[in-house]
Amino acid sequence: MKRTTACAALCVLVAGCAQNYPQNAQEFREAVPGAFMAKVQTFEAKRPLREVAKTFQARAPECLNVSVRTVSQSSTSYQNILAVYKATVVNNPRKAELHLQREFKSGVLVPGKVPPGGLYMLVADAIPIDAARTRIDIYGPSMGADTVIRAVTGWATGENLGCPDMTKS
Amino acid sequence: MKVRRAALLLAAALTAGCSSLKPYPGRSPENVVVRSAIESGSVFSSMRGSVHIHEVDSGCRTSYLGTVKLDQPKVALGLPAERTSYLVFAFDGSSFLGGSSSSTSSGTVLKPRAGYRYEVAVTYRDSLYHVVLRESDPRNGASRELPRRQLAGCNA
Repeated sequence: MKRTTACAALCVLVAGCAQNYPQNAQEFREAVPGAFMAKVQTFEAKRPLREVAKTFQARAPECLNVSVRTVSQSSTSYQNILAVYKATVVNNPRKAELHLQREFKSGVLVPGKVPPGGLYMLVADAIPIDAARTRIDIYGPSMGADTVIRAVTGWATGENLGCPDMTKS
Repeated sequence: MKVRRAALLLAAALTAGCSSLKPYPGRSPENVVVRSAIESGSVFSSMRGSVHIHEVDSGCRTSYLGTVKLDQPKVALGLPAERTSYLVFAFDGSSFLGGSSSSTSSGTVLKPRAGYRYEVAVTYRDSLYHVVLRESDPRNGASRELPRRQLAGCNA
C-alpha cells in the first residue's frame, strides 16, 4: 500500500507537481532525470539485442498486463484501489523499448490529463553495444518499483524470467 | 428461538469465512502435479498460493469448479482429459500490521490430452513468481514446455 502511494506520488512529482503528466514515453524519458524520486539506471546485459527484445516481447505482456486490487483497512479508514497496468513493447533493429503504464480505475484521483493507458511508470530501453552486448536504460521511480525493475533486469540479462508481483509495485 | 437461529447462521457464515471459494473435487486420474515453492513472507506478512480451476465452454466462458491450496510442496489433481480447463494460479498476501491484503495471479488455458501427464512448477520468491507448465508422455518419456494460453480465443 505504501509503495502504491509512493509510486502514485512519484507520478505526480515527475510531472512537476502540475497537471502536465508525460503523455508518451519520450516525454517520460525527458522528465525523469530532473524529477524528485526518479532516476535512470543503466547496466550492460551480456546478450545481443535480438535476445533481449525477444524476452521483452515474451514476458512483458504476460507479466505486466495485469490488474491489481489492493484493499487496506483500519479502524478509521478503508481503501480499495484498482490499478490496471499496460505494457507496450516496441522493437526495431536498432532498439527495443518496454513501456509500462498504470491507470487507477478506482480509489485514486489523478488531477490532470492522463495519457491513454495510464500514467507512465517505467520505460526501459535496450540499445546494442556490439553483437553480443546490450545497454539497458531504465527510467523509473527511485522508490516503490523495485520489484518490477528487478523483473525487467532479469529479463534483460536472461537470468530470471519470473513475473513481478505487481501488488508490490 | 429466532435469535438462536440467527446466531447459528452467523456462526456458520463466520466459520466458512464468508468465502465463495470451495475445494476442487478429487477426480481420477490425477493427471496434473503442481510443485510449488512459495515464500511465506516476513514475520509481519504472509503469502499463500492456490490454484483456482474453471471449466471452459465452447464460447470460452468459464465456470468455477473449485480451488486447490498450494500448501504442500507437491499437490496432485485430476483434470478432465480432452476438455478445456482454465487454471488460475493465485498468490495472496496479507499484512498483519497494516490490515491490508492483495492478490496477484496468472492464468492459463489447458486442455489435457488423454494419457498425458502435466507438471506445473510454481515459484514465488522475492516478489517474483514463475509458473511453468510441462506436458509429458509417460509412454516414451517425451516432455515439452507449454506456453501460457490466454482465455480469450481459447479454442484457437
